[in-house]
Parts: sequence; C-alpha cells; structure tokens
Amino acid sequence: MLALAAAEPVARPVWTGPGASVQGMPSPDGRFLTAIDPSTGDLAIRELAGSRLHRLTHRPSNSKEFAYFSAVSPGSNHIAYAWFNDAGFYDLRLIATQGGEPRLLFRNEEAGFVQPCDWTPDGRFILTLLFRKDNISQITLIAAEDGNVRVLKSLNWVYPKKMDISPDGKWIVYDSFAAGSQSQRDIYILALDGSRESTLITGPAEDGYPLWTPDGKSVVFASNRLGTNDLFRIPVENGKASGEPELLQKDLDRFLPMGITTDGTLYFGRRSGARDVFLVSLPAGEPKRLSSRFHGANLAPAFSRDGQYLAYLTRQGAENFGTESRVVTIRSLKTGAERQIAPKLAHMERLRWSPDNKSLLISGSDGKGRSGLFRVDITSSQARPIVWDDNASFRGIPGDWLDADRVVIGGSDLRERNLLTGDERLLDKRAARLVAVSAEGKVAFASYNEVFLLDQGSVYKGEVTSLAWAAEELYVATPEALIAGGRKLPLPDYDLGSLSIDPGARQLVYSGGRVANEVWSLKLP
Amino acid sequence: MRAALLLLAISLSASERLTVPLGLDQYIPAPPENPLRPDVTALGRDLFFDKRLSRDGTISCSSCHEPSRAFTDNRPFAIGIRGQKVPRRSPPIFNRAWGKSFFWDGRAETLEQQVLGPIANPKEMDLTIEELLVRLRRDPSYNSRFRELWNREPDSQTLAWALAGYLRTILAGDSPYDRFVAGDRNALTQRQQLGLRLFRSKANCHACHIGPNLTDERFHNTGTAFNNGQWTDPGRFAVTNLAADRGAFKTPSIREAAKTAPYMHNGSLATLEDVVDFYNKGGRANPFLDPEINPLNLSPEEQTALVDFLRALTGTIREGWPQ
Repeated sequence: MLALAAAEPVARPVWTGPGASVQGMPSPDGRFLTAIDPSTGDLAIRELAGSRLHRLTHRPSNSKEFAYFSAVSPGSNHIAYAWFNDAGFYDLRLIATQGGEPRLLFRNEEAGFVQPCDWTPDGRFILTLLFRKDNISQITLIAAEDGNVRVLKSLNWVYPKKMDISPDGKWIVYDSFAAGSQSQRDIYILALDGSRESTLITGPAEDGYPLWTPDGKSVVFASNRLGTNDLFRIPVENGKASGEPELLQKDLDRFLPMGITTDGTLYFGRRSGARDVFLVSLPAGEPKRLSSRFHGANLAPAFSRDGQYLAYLTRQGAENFGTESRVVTIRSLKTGAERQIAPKLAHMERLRWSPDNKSLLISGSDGKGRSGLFRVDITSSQARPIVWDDNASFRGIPGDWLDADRVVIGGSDLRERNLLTGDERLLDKRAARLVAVSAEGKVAFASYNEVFLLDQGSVYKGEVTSLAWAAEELYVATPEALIAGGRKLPLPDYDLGSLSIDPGARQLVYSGGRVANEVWSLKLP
Repeated sequence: MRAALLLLAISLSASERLTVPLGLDQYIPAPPENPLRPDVTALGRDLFFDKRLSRDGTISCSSCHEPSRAFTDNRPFAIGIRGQKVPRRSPPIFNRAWGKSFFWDGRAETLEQQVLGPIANPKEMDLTIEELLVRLRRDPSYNSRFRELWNREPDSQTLAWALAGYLRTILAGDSPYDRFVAGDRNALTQRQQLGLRLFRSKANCHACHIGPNLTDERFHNTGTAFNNGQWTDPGRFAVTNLAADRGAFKTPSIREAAKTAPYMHNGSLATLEDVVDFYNKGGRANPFLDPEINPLNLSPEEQTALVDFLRALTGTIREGWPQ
C-alpha cells in the first residue's frame, strides 16, 4: 500500500561546484552545514545564508591528518567529528562552532573508524558508529563529557548508511541489511536504552538513510521500491510504524540524505558525473566507454592474460557516503556479453585474472576482518582467503599470479606463495605497493617512487601510479605519462592503479572520470 | 488497566538495572511475546535449578550447566538421567540471547524451542512436557506464579518463556580481551597480544570465532566427528540432510574457554593446548572438511601465545536479575 503526498515539494541546490561536501550535516538551527575544507582537509562550517566557509581545525602542514564525518549538537554550538590521526586511524573529537581548541573524546585503535551521526537532545551523548578491526560495526553512544562508550548493538561489516535519534530522545532509527541478505536493506528502530528493537520498513527494496522529522511523528527515508531513488515518509508512534509509507519526492537520483533542521528542511547530497571504464587503442586512440549496461559505476578493469576477457568492479545499489558496495562484472571481449558475480567480500579494490581464466585474485577484505588477497572462483563466486594481514587496510594487499598454482604477494615485502601447499618463500625484502607479473613470469614491483624487476634491480625512479605488462614489455604509469621501453605514451585522466593492457599491447583499459558532489535542500510538507 | 501500567513501570525500571558485562551489546534480543522481565527471569531461574523437571527428580538443567563451571559440566559427554551418557558435550549456555540457532546441530531455531528439548529427551531428563505441566499445575507456588505472569495455568509456551527468559540473562563478558578491545592497551600481556594477532591472522581462528560473542553462529566440519574413516556423529546433516553438512557443528562461543574444558562437540580434546595443536595440524581430514581449516604452521612459541590469549577470554559471568 502506498499513499501519495498532496503536493510534491521542490528541491533546491544550496551548494554546488568544486569543494561541495556531503559528509557533514546541517546545524539544527539551519544556520550552517558542517563540511570538509577541500583545500586543507580541515573541518569547516559553511554558512547557509551566504556561502562563506569557516575553517575550524588547523591541520599541520605535511600531515596526513584530515577531518571526515561530523554531527552538530542540539544547540548548534558544538560539533563532534571524525579526525584521521597521525597514527592512521580515526579519533572522535569535539570542537565549538566558534572554533578554538578541539577536545579528543575517543581514540581506540581497535575501533579505528568512527562516524558521529547525531546527538541526544540533552547534548550528553553522541550517537556514533564504530567500525572495529574485526569488521564488526557497532551502534554506540559516546558521552560528550568523558568519552565513555556504551555499545547498544553490534552489526556485521555492513554498517548503517544513516542513524538518527528521535526528537524525544527515546529512539534510534537506522538501516541495515536484512538477516542473511546482501542486497535488501531494511530500516529498524532501536530504543536508546537498548531495551527493545522493531523493524520499521522491510521488503525486497533497498530502503535506507532514515531521518526523524522534527515533530518526531514520522521518519523520512530513501527507497528504490518504485525503480528510482525516491524519498518517502512513514508515520511512527512509540517506536513502531503507525501507517503506510508515503511518497514525498520522486526520482532524486543519486542522493544522500544528510539531516533535517528544526524547521523541517531536509538537506541532502547529490552526486553527478560518472566514473567509468574506458578503452583506448595504443599508442594514442580516443577513449571509448566500455560498458553501456552498467553506466557510470565501473572501475579497476583487468584484461585476462589471453585477452579474451575483461573484469572490472561495478558499484551496487544506492550511493554511499563512504566505501561503496561492489560486484565483479566479467565481459567477454569476443561476444560483448557481460555477467556479474558477487563474491562475499566486504570490499574489493583490485583484480587479477588467473592464467587459466578460472579465478580472480582480488585485493580487499572479507566480513571476518581479514584484509589481504582472495582467490575468487568466477563460476561459483566463492572467495577463499590466500593471505591476510592484521595491519593491512581494508583495501587489502597487492598481488598477481605467477602461474596457476603460485601467486606473488606484495606488502611489507615480496613473497611467493604456493596455493597447493601453502608454502611461502621470500622473494625480496623491499616493500611492494604495486605488483605485476608478465605472462612469462617476470615480476615487477614498485614502492612509491621506484620500480624493480625481480632479480634485476631498479628499472625506473620516480613517482609510479600503476604497473602493467604486455607482450613481455613493462609499462610504468607515472602522473605524467605511460612509459614503456623508453617511449613515453600519452596517458588519459585515470584512477590510480586501474590500468591494464591487452596481451598484444594494442589496447589500454582504465577507469576514469569525475564524480561531483552537490548539496540540495527540500522543505518537507 | 492501572495494574497493567504499574506492572509495565516496574518492568521498565528493573530493565534499566540489568547490567551487561563489557564486550556485549546493551540490546539483548528477545521475542516480542517474551520480553526480558525480572519476574519471568526469576521463575525461569527457579525452574532451571529444580530437579522435578526430570522424571526421577535427580536431574535439573543446572546438573549439566553448573554456574560454578561456567555453565558446563566439564565432562566429555553429558550424563543424563539414570547415569545415561548423552552423545554430545554440554555446551556453554551464556550469551545465548544472541544465538541464531540452538544445540550443537542447530535443530532448534529459537531459545524457546531449545529449552524444552532436554526435558523431554529420554537420555537427559526423560519427562514429557505434558507430565511436567501436570507437576507444575499441582504445585501451588508455581501455578500461582504462572497465573500472575500470564493469567493462565502453566503450559508449554509459558514454560518455554520462563526458561528462555532466564537463559537470556546468563551473560559472560568483561574479560581482559574485552578491556583491550575497549581501548585498555595494558589489559593483555605482550604474549597475549601476540596471541590475539595470531588469532586474527595466521591461526585464522577469526574465520569462525568472530563478533562480540566470538562465534559466527554457523556450522563447520573440523573433522572431530570422523574417526578411522567412520562418521561418529552426523552433526548438522541430521537437520538439513545436506551431504556438505555431514560432521558439521555449530561454532561455540570461546568466551570462558579456560573454564569450559574438555572441548569440541564430543569433548575429545582435553586442554586448550590440545585444541591449538589440533587446528595447527589442519583439523582431521575428511570428505567435508571446512575449507577454512588448513595446517597453520604455528611455531611452539606461537601456539603458547595463542593459548595464553584464549585464557584472556576469562571474565565475569552473571545470571538472573540483580535483587
């Protein structure tokens, strides 16, 4: 059953152009948006009446630190924000909206990702998503006074896209995958004291980004139940649905609800532009978009060693603020036919075809907290971990196939692993950020600024963004050009690490393109 | 109406006092028809320790799930009524509020289904539920308590609610591991920290022992039910009839591991050292060995560190509602 709102409200852009930031939220009083200063990575606020950006934090120069998600206190006078620290994980910090010294509220390497989402109405607690080293996400309340953590509920690696506290401070609404599903996202209401929980929205569609309306009588949410990404509202009473969902706004496209001000204005992010996979004839052809079927959501392409297939990653489902959900698309270059497989992995970053075209070596992480390299059978989609490291990021570890039974593994050093016996041997003590193996088994690897050939030493010095082999020739991608055999080829605007060249060195495939963020507002009826 | 409101107020107020040990969620799942309530818990607790739940009055639930033994009996096989040997070990029963299925083979889908199973099992307590209900109805105290709670005589549903309601309050947490994960970097010794790193990496324990309760609530074949080419227990296969489930058992929580020996579904491994040695050798080969079970190549020092870490999972067990 579906009701239609009497009059469809009108959405308006409030922040467009370079630097528009969607990781923040509007202040409850509607004066400003929290944002990330694109030029420095600092936490900032952007006035909604004008367009000035005020930087609140002051990131040291040459630092890898930066601000990320943030949430504004009920009085609009403090901001809780995630800060990527110099140790390589996220703190939760507090700062006054007038600026001043930030206060460290929570720092725990075991829960290295924090996402503040909302404050309790009394300002005492910050509703925060923690993501732990073991890939468990947790809905927590962190005390604004002393950083004490109360874990309300643990979820698996599929963390909520949004969590929000009801205006009366009694309920948290959040979204999460339905039990056992990898695509059905439902919406739940959890009592703030942890005493009970109920399902607000369930069904085969992807329902997410729930937010309470200022009167606390309903929840607005995004849903693709009608085939497009639409905005809905459902009445709620005492933590449960008290009516049917009502369509508020049809087809908001790639939108990311950020927050609702006390006057009932919804602010949401919107994405435009596309990131896609392109083919270029070598040495200097015109880029052609590879796929017409999964337009605008493709990356990390890889040719098979015989040039028969291309595999690449495709974004799945609605937009995410952070890491997106991905599947693998496999394209036959002979027929143009495409099919998709969805290995049970939390994140996939890079692909490499096995010499027999039966498996993919995927860098990424699984739902069990293992970040490393996985072997994925392209028929069954089954993913088996090959190697993982407690200290690796969720993007995994670089690697490539030596032959059907052996892989070369990068990371803090370079190793060869026999997949049949599990035996490993050290190939080189140097760190290997990029690894590429030729069809005949030549191994190239690179740190940030030097490329080596195994057993031959350095072959290139300078910044390296990608490595690829074709016709037994090594191609080194730098920020300026593609270098092979002393030749410099023009390089398209591409995503780092995404190059692959067909075995005959006739075609280059890469992912590129730009995605832009905008912030829009919508006065709820 | 006023009485109902008063009861609700009492329940909610008491609900706020149920303290959850560090490492567990504040939200304790319970079915809507059987929410956590102190009065239900108290009734379930009395039933749990009552030997009249067995045919000859010699066995209670606590006979095999002793609080002083981390709610196990430390035997390789449970001993039921008339000294009968039960085919499987008594599993730890803490933190079962978060369980997805119950018994070693997962044949019960809810805690309410599970709690009635051992009572009726001829090898365990050997009392039909109908016979037990007659006993409870004849007992003035029990009968009145059931009537006060649910306005009806004891029946199988309310019996299950009471026992499951109590089981949901048996909580284990607040171990050195929990304190370490919560940010206390000194809660584990250096060797235990090495053990934790191995747990999450080379030893691959994390493949199954994951989440706040250190179990994936899934079924895995480690080879313990395969001996000399013969299956000694069908495991999950008995429930699903799927060949791949032969010899597979539910991953138990390894909280309180140091207190819950012997190990595996059949108590075949006496010590934590034996368990680590078993997995270090890749479990026991059989046609359906779980693909996550492989030889680990752990050195003796690494094995010791892993055992040390497992001992750091010993914390606090609380049960019932605080008075």
